[in-house]
Amino acid sequence: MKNRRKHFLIDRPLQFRYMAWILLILLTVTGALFASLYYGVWGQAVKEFSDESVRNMLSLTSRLEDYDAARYQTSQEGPRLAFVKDTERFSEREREIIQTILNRSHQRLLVLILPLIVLIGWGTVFLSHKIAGPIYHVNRILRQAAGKDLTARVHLRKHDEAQNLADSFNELAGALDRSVSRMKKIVRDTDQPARLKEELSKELEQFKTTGH
Amino acid sequence: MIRLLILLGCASVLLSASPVHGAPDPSFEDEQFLRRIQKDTFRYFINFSDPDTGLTHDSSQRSSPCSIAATGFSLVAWVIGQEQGWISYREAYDRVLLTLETLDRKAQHRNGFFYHFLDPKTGRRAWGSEASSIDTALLVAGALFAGEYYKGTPVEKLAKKIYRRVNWEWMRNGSDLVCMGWKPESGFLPYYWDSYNELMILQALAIGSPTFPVPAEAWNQWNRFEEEYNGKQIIYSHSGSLFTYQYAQAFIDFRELNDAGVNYFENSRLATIANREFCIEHAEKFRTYSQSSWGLTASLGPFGYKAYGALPGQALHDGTLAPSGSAASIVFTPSESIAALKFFYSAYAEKLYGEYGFKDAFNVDRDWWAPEYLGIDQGITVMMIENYLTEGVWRHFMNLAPIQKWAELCKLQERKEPAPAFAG
Repeated sequence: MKNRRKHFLIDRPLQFRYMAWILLILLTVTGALFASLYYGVWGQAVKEFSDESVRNMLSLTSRLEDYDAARYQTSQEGPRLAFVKDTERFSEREREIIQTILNRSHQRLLVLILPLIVLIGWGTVFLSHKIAGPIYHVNRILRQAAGKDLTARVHLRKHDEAQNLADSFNELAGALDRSVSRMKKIVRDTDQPARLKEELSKELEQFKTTGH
Repeated sequence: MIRLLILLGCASVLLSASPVHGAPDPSFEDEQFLRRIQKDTFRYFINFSDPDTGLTHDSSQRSSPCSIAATGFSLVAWVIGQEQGWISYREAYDRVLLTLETLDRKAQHRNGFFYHFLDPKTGRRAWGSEASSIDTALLVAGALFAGEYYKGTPVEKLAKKIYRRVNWEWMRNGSDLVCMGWKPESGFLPYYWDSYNELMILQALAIGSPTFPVPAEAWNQWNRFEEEYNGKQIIYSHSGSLFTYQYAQAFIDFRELNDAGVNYFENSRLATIANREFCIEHAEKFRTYSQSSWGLTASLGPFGYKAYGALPGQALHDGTLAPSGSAASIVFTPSESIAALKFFYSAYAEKLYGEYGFKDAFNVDRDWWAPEYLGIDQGITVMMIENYLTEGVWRHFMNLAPIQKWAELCKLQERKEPAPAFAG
């Protein structure tokens, strides 16, 4: 493969910086979700299934079965069936509690997800802007230069990426600007054609070009 | 407490002369005593109704779910609390409105029938409970009462909306009688309201429904088993529990209504006297029972919640009494009920009387004292004392169009002989 990458870390500081940013955002999001789920579900489970709560639940189970027995006159069913019914009601209540815990946790997650989405959105815009901003700016200046305006220079924000690129471009533009300015001056100040040719040739010879 | 004991002493002189039937107006001291109990009992609803949903807890036990029947009673209690000046109009109205909004929008139901137990915060079905017909009826009765009281306000509108949503016909499940409930997992329960008990409030609301009425013939489909006890012919409930003679009559004033010659107010009066006599007859076996210590009704007990009752009926009893049993019979047997309440207070206040009035039950023979309060027992106590003192619940409830429709369709004739005059 002609264009196969040989070096993945071509600009270590730049790449490490971006890796750190992305990792930080991912860790924040994952950590927040994990903490919310873990402490939300587990915290509530610990509370709902504490010794006191379970005792209370057993007592209420028995109470509600008594209510049914009193209303439906099923108290003659015997202890074994009563135990089965108690167990069924108890497990039903457990399922309800677990469902409630999950519902509450999901609601909390939904509430938490909103700021996380904002964080991810902000992070994405921030990071992409650090690259896209300079690219856009450099592109605009290059077009200006392509339109033969050699006064154009790239001015990036202090923390924008591609400062080296901007410096290199500005160096190039400066060199071209100076050279073309000198040639303009030669044309303006030299009357003799032979001397004009000589001066221009000297200036132009400094450029490497594809044509002769 | 000392003030109350002085009141007790003063009132006992008057009580000794009170007849069982046709009692005179309550004395000032009696009224003060009853109001004190009613106020303390009322406070249960303040402390055990969820501030965010208005739903009332089934009991004062920690983590207890909300009971829709207790919530129905709370809707009446708020009005009574306002009338007595225990809470402001604004607070009472707001609490009623909040509860009805929860019932309208959040509380889980099936065809308008609410689940027996709900989560206090979410209103979702709790403990795998059934969509209950009788508990919905008690809840709707409370809502309609509040709607009638706050006539012309959003409370009335919501109460009617909740009532109109109940599909009573569906709950008949194709039979002549109304089913006791329905579960999503197993469908209709295999139990139907087929004989005399608290079912009359359910029947009245179902027959009077403007949207999904059951035919008036349903009123004649349930059994009225009769039996004689100590010379009293009584249409009795299976359990013989006092609450079965009280719940419907906390809302419906049966004093002037005759059902083919039967007056259910008179029937409840006889059943209450029978209940008391049953206790007295067993006083030798159980120390809890005495002339002033009676009232077998469904309540907590040393071995859990039981449908305690007397003859005629199953008559399950073990010496456990619930003060709400005699308290809520006050409209039927004022003298005996007041005497019982005074006895309970003077003899057992330390163990039996707490922040919210009388605790649910006690058993002297086993030295067992309920540590808690039950919402429905608190509610029935507050309501019946009010009916005894002012007839306030009856007066508003009997004005309701569905109740008048039910009475008319079921041909409940006006009683010919004068009704017992017990209250002013």
